[in-house]
Amino acid sequence: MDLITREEFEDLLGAFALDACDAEETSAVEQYIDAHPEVGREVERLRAAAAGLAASDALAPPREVRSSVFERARERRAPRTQTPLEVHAEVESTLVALLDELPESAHDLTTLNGLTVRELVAHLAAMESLLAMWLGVPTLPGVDDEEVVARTATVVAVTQDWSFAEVTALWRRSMAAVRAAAPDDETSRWFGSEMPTNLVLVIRAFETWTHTDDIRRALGKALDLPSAAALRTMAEGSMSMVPSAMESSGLTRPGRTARIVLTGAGGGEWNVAMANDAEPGEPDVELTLPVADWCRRFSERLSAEDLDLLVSGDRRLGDDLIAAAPVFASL
Amino acid sequence: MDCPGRVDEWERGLRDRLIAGDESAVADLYDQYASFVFGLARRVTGDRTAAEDVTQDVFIACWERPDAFDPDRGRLRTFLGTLAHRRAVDWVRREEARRRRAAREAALVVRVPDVEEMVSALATAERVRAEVERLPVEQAEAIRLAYFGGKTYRQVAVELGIPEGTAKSRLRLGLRRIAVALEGNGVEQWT
Repeated sequence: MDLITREEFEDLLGAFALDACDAEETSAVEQYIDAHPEVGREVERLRAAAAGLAASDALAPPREVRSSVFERARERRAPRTQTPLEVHAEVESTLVALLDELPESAHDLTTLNGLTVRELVAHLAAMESLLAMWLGVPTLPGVDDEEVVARTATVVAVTQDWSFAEVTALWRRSMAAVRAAAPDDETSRWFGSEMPTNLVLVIRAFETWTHTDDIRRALGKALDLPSAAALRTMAEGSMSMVPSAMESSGLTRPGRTARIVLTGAGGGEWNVAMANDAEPGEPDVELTLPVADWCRRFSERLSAEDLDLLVSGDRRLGDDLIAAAPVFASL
Repeated sequence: MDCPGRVDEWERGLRDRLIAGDESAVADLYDQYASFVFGLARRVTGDRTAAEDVTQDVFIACWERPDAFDPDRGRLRTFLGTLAHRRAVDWVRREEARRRRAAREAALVVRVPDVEEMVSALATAERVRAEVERLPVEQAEAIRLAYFGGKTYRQVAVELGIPEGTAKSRLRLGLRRIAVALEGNGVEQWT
């Protein structure tokens, strides 16, 4: 049942489009529009004309409004992210799909870090089985090396006579074992330190994605990106590592803060302290770059010069941050 | 973005990303429209802080309820303009009520918007200026009071000393003429 007649609606339409009706009339007109979709186009025409009235008044808001929008928006509705377990599983599926379609001749192609595709899968199995061992669910009994290069060499040697499918199966068994055990442990061993297990899962996802790209590169295929929700989780994880990255590169800057704006699907904005155990303050520098570039810089698959990067504020601090970022360079 | 098909696709994609909870879609939306929204809010409220609040509210509303924008019903720019204008007008009306109370209490004179300034600022709207100038003066004046002054058509009627029915028809006819003229210029495709 309409609250107003067609004539009354027509009569009020101009005022309605200009927000010049009182509350009661506004809701009566809105109810009429909902009940009569055929009037929608006319309403839209007049509203567009009204919006056009303000066209030349465009004025950039103060900078701080932008960051307030993000902070308040996150409080109201959390951005969609994947759990670290989901990210870990997603990057596995992506690599499995790639390996499944590889011709045998591709197994011996050399990848970016000098390993063949087959050796690279063995390296992934080595690293994942190491984490499985640390989580108490060993998948490669008898192999106890805990150093990256030595363990990789051992696993490459141990699997020398295995088929490619068997090496892949060892890697996948280790991925599954890690995911099965991870929820039981809040923290995990990670190369001489103790880290939140969720962060370790994200680091593993970074490595898996990075080597998937390495294989794609060796095959001459276009590089690939995880889903937006996975990228978002990976970007989030990388932010928590920035202070340590600054510290371990000898570039720590206590009391300083960087705002990192990652663009593209899965991006976001973060204020990050430039030293461990510090809270971020007002940003001294703002870096804007695609989320994919940021993630690839972390695994040193992009040089600082090749980043699509905009820096404003303390340029030197920005340069130091970008220099320190490849914390996963050893992957 | 002057190709309507691509604009449409971009707006649909943006809405899908907002619904999916992709925060970077807020950044894209903000970077594209913040100046439009803030400028509109600043113009209507005449208050920088209020305009900042309106701007934040508009973009947060898009993040919270992205499905409120229906690409089949209209353009994103119009949707944002409507959201921003409503909030700005709400602020103006609340502020006027507060000022009236304060004026009653302190016997102060309520400050009215500067008509000359508004007319002059309206005339700077390059793309609509010509159309607004072609409107009969009484229609342009009614639209100015309603849109930029945040007044209801009843207040417009009182201010101009005309019957309410006349105020409504001036708003309707004037806005229709602008709509027809802007569509003739292809301006409905603005983003």
